[in-house]
Amino acid sequence: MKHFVLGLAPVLAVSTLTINGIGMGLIFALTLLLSSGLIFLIRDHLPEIIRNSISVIIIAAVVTLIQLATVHYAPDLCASLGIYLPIIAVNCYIYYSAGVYPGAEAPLKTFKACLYIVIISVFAGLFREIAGKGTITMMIAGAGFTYDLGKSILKDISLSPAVVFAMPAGGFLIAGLVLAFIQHIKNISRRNKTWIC
Amino acid sequence: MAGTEGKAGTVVFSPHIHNRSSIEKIMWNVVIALVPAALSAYHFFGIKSIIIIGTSLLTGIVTELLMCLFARRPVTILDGSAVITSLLFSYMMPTTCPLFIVVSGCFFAIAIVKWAFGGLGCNFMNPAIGGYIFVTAAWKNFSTCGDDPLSVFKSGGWNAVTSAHFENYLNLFIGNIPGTVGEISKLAILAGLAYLVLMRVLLPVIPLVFLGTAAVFLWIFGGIPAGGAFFTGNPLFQLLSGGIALCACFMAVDYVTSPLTINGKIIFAVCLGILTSVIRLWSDFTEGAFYSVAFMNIFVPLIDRFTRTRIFGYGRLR
Repeated sequence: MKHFVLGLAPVLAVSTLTINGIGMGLIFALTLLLSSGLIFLIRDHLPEIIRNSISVIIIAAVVTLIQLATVHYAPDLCASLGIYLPIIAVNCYIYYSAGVYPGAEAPLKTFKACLYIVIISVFAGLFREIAGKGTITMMIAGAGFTYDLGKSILKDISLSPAVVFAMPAGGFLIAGLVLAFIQHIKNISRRNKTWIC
Repeated sequence: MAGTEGKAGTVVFSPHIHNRSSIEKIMWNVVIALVPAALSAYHFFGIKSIIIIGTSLLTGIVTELLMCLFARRPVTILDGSAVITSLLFSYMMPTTCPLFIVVSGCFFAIAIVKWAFGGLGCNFMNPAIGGYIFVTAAWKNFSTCGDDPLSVFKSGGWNAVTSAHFENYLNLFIGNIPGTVGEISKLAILAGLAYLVLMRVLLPVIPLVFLGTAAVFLWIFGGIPAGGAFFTGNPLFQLLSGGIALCACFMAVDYVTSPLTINGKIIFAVCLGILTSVIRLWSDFTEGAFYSVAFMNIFVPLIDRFTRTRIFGYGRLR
């Protein structure tokens, strides 16, 4: 769980718009799946001494490929993700060194990590934009729409958006709540009845 | 100990002193101590202040009920802690504040600052101050008071204060000034503190040291930001304006988020006084007391660790 939190930095940094959250989550999950799949396939044929170096090279190559593809197909998304897109490589390496990939149950663990990341980034993007700006932006590469809740639904109610959710503090808040919720579900499923403060 | 049933009857070691206080008793005593401030708010602001206090109370109690059900624990509305948090939170809001801000701030205070960390006794920060910080970060224009004496002094200096007729210390003391719901009347706040001290709910160490440190610091450095010399500050005006009295008497002394020992309390309160003065004099914020309490609450475990008392019969702790 704690390595998972370490890898959340780029997700929290850019998830101020819905489309950014979705894009970041999908790109992160794709990178993680591709790089971990490649490493999983070749890791048994490599000598121990160069295994880490090769893994770093594979992760960096996959991230570079995906960044080039994003620049080509969705330049505006790439511009708003900025430096946080290449940083995915660091987080993939953190996941790798934290032991998410190796071992017999590596595919399952990787799929779980990808699922969590997509859920958190989509939820964080959606919630932070609705609460912090009052809109839902689904614009990518010039296509899509921006839905303004303030003009359509909340016309008569004098609610103003809470700008704290559009600031970095809001990202940490949402991430903490989502992680607490995941832990709560885990606790229930374990039927853990001892309460620890 | 004769006749005591259960676990308490079996404890035979160490000299234990039995005290009849309980969580409920302490909490409801604090609620009684908070009533004078509500009365003063009704006297000076009328029904608007009562609407804000009532909204906050209702939200707090409903949130407490929901979180108890969500966490599958016994319902703890009657222990009074949610009532205290809601009251303190509403005391920090101006009367012009829209009600949805009161509702969301009070919900944040109880559901996230208190219950997400495990409920009463497990929160790392005073819940009311957590809610206040959330609300001021989210809706700064609606949730801060722009025409109270401290804001006027901050924006326009002493000349603005005298032209707005805030220089009457008696008015500042009894609360005949604009401001937030509960912080205007220092008389009511001190009456509440006196009740708490008389009922032996708390020792007035933190309030006295906090206010004393802030007064000395503001006296020495108070004139510097306006270009004056040392020792030209006006500590009496500074202590009687803004929320420092409310903060020192009811929020800094919270059992959960203040140090255990007397030495720890003194360190805590000195740091609070200095931080409050620094924020008031040199930052963009008008009121520094709430932020400084939130900041120092984080250091309470550290202070507790370094001010542990010596166990009888053992050497000094290293």
